[in-house]
Amino acid sequence: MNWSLEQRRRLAAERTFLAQYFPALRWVDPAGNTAIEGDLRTNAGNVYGVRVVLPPDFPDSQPDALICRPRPLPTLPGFSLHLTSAAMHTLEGDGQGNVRICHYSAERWAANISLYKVVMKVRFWLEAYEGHLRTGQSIDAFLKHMR
Amino acid sequence: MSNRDPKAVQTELSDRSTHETGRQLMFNPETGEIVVVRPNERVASPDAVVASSIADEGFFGPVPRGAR
Repeated sequence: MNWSLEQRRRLAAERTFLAQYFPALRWVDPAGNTAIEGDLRTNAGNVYGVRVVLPPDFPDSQPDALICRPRPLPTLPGFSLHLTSAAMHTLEGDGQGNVRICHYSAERWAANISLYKVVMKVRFWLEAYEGHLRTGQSIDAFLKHMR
Repeated sequence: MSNRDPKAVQTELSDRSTHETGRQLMFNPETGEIVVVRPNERVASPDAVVASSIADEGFFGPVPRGAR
């Protein structure tokens, strides 16, 4: 994938901004199949590996947000994190055991939405996920549905 | 319960998914923690940023294939 000059400028700005707030995240293959990955730690101190994969037409399309570690991501009986589910705010898995989480729909995505906001949504999803494990409630008991 | 306690954060997320709470969710990039801040409460870290609006805009809730 070859990023256009305009895309490269955008990615440079995103990189600077993300480094301020999520310094543990690193950029993978910045000239090709670009992704951002690294660890996010919840307030409980648990560490999750996350990956945000940029589509070739970024920022016109939204990135994929994945939880990669632990794999499999444990859940409670009767729940799945690998299916398309409004209750769990997940999309169908990527076939490699990673959990694809819902952040912005294609309809609600706009080119000016920053990767910082996507990562922050992942961070909130992780707190909600731990709330799910603690209470047995689905993740949408903690996260509002986008209108 | 501290305002950075996981249960407090989860409760705040749950509460604000249904109604306005008057509190803020802030993210402290120094620690990576999310903090619940009450009105007029001072935030410990000057680097903390308000993240409430990101939670408040909601999360996409997909409809499974065949369920439409």
